[in-house]
Formats: sequence, C-alpha cells, structure tokens
Amino acid sequence: MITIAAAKGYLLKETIKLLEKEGYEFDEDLTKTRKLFTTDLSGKLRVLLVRPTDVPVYVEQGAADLGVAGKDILLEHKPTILTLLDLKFGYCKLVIAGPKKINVSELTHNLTIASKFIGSAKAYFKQKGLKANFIKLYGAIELAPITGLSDLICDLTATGATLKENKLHVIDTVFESTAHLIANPVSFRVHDTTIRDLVSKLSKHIS
Amino acid sequence: MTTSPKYGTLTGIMSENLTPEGIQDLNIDETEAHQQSVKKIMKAFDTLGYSKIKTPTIENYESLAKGLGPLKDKAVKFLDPSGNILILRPDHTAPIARLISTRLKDETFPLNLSYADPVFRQSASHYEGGLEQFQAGVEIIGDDSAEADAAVLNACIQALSNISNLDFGIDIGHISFTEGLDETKRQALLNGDYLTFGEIPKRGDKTLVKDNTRLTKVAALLDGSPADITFNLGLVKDIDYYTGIIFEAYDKKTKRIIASGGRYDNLLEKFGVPNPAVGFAIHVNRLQGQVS
Repeated sequence: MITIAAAKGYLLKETIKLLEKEGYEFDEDLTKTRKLFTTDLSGKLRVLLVRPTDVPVYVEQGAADLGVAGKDILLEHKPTILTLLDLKFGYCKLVIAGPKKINVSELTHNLTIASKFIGSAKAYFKQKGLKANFIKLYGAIELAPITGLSDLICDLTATGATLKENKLHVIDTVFESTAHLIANPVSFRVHDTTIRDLVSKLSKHIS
Repeated sequence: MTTSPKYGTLTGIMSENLTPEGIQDLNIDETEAHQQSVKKIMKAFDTLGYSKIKTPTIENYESLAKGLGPLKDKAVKFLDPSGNILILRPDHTAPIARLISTRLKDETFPLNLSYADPVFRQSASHYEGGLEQFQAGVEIIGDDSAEADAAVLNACIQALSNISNLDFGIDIGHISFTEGLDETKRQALLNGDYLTFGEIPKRGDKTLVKDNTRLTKVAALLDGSPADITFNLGLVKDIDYYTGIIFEAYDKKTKRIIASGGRYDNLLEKFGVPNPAVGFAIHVNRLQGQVS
C-alpha cells in the first residue's frame, strides 16, 4: 500500500476525481467527511487529508509516500522531495499588490510587505535589488494595506476578485502555480514500479 | 508581553536542566544500543583492514572552510581568546584531509582510514538528526581505481549487514549523469525536479550503466553481493564536491537515508596534498532502535 497526502479542499476534490478516473474507488465522499484518512476499496492506496502547507512535511519525512501540493507551497518551503508531475489543476498566482495602481519600476526601498509567503516575497524583493520589510500573516492579507499595517501585500490570487473587492491592484506576478505530484525520495525507490505506473496512468488524464 | 502559562512539572525535573534544542543525551539502555551499533560497524571496518583515526572536535575555521562547501554556513562557530574563529567539526572528510596534509603526509598511500565520531550542524532539523549527529565511516586516500570504489561500497554493505533487523537498499549514481545537460536541466536533476528535467530518471541493474565503463567495472566487482543494489540515473548531488561515483543506502522501513558517500578527487588538493579519495559515512543516529 502507498500513502498519498492531499490538501483538504479544492485540490483534494480534483485529486479524488483523477484517482477515480484511474479506477480507484472510495466508499465515502472525502470532501465532506471529518475523517482525516481513508483507504480505497482495493486497499492499495491510503489518502491523508492534511493542510496544504503540511503536505510537503508529510512527504519529506516519509509519513506519506506521495503528495499533491501546490507549486506555491513547494517554492515557499523548498522541501527535499521529488517532483513527478504537473497535475494542471488548482491554478493560482502569487502577486505583489497594493492600493495604488503603479508599475514595478515605481517600487522603492523600505516598503513593508504583508504575506503568508514570506520566503517567496523576500526572494522577489532581493532579486529586484530592493530593501524591504516583511510581516508574516496567516490570512485576510488584503486587510494589511487597508489598515496601514503594510504598504503592499504578496498574496495568492486565482481570479483577482478578492483583490478587486478590497481595492487592491496587481503590481507584478511573482510566480504561477498549479498542483504537483511529489514523492519522498526513498519511497520512490522502495515503491519504484508502483509509483512510475501511477504517474504514467495519471498523466494520461491531464490535458 | 503575555505571560506564559504555568503547566506544573510532570517529571520533577527543573526545566533548565533539559538539553539544548537539537541535542540529546542517551540513558543507560540507549548508550548500550548506540555502542552496540558502533561496535558492529567498526568491527566490519576493522575486518576489512581500515585503520582508526580520531580528529579533534574543535578545529580552526580557516583551515577547514576551504573543504566544507555549503556546510561552512552550518558549522557551529565561536571565538578563542585571541579572536580566531573556531568551529565544531561539521563533517569528517575535511578534518581528515587536514590530518593527511599534516601528520599523515609521510604515510604510505593508499591509506585506508575509518572513524566514528559526532559531527555538529546548526539548523539541522530533528528529522535530519539535530545539531549533534554521530557518523561512522571510511575513506580510501590515494587510490583512484574502480576497485577502491567497490571496496568502499563493500565496507558500507558489510557494516550495515551487521546491524540486526535492518532492511536496506543501495542506490548508485555518478557525477557524469549531469554531463551534456543544459543549466536548467542540470539544476532540475540536482533538485529532484523530474518535471522540469523532462523525464523520471531510470533505475535498474548494471545494464542501465553499460555505457559507463567505470560503473560497469564497479558493478562487476560487486557481482554476487547479497545487497539490494540499484543503479539510479537520477542520483547526482553536491556537484562541487563529488567527482565520480555517488551512492546512498536507505532503510526500506523508516524511509531514511542511513549512509551516503562517493568519490571526491579534488578535495585533498585544496589542503595542498593532491590525492584521489573515496569514502562514505553511516548516520548512526538514524539506525537507533534497529539493534536487537
């Protein structure tokens, strides 16, 4: 049996859909259950339902053999894992946004940036050659510039609707992200054939 | 400032008497288990004719830095009374290279050495083994042959086979697997990003490396070994350090890398004593609980 960790929510729903296309069956609706793990009817695959940021932690330490994680999380936390497949769903992008409609070239030194993705935000400003200050938040990032907590935010957006509603403008895209299939490097060796087989089967369903 | 809640002690131990983060002491049983592991490993090395050496725990930063690569940043540093930077040994290879450049320089080479001592690395996670990690390993200095590569692999197999209840496999790679790749693909392979690399590197028996004369020779020398050995076209790492074969032993149950090594022919030159070298270390802490 192999264990796959998936982030609760949209990524889990899409992961289950993909697995069902490959013939895996589950006896309950995993998107609605309060259980944190389940095994498919054939007993070959165990699914762990975890927080998005926890997926690479489970995979890196071998508590899960495989994981479905957003590329955003992988770029932020840089876990020691193998990246096997772009599953193409769960598109979003990490952007720099602020209350004023400005160009990237108008960014200055010593701005304060609020973000859940501090590592990626720091790397972005460092590459631009700009000294900046960072505030780590865990949610409702859009509030930070409105309340004067920060000048700008660095946050995920899919459609831009939340940004728009809070009168924030996108200044630049840091990176784009979709869900990726990742593996523990040792699990990959122990379950070599099974994992390769699963990857080739799943890749047929990805457009 | 919020006051921390008071929990009350469960153990009657004064909290300031606990060890620092990333550091563990061993009680009587744990010490016994640890000593048994080390004894079994060193017995294998002794039988194969490796001579034991001990390098000091404390070294001059300046003397080791040139041979440490990225470990330079992870070394625990402090100052002596005159302001020289000292470090706690962060690996074994650099101190051994330093020892060879000084008190072992008149020995007859090749020199087959073994060691069993802790290394100290800052910001290593609990999963990696914390700040103090115990390593036992061997190095063959002054022999650039495939026989030396195979001898070191054999030492790894013999030592791990002495540990009870350990189900391990060994993957063998080579630095040449990055040759001819453009920078993007090379980085992708080194990072395990097989998506960007464009394919999942193949793993298999020696026929997979039939174009690599060196690995084919090593494979022939290991023929008949009872160990579960796999050639892995994706096993490349520490590109500034390794110059030839690279290998890793993994525990199939805990899914941890328990030993790693390879050939590093350019390292000793940095210490003024150009010599080919091949070696490996077992991460002894990661074997804890395996001894029966």
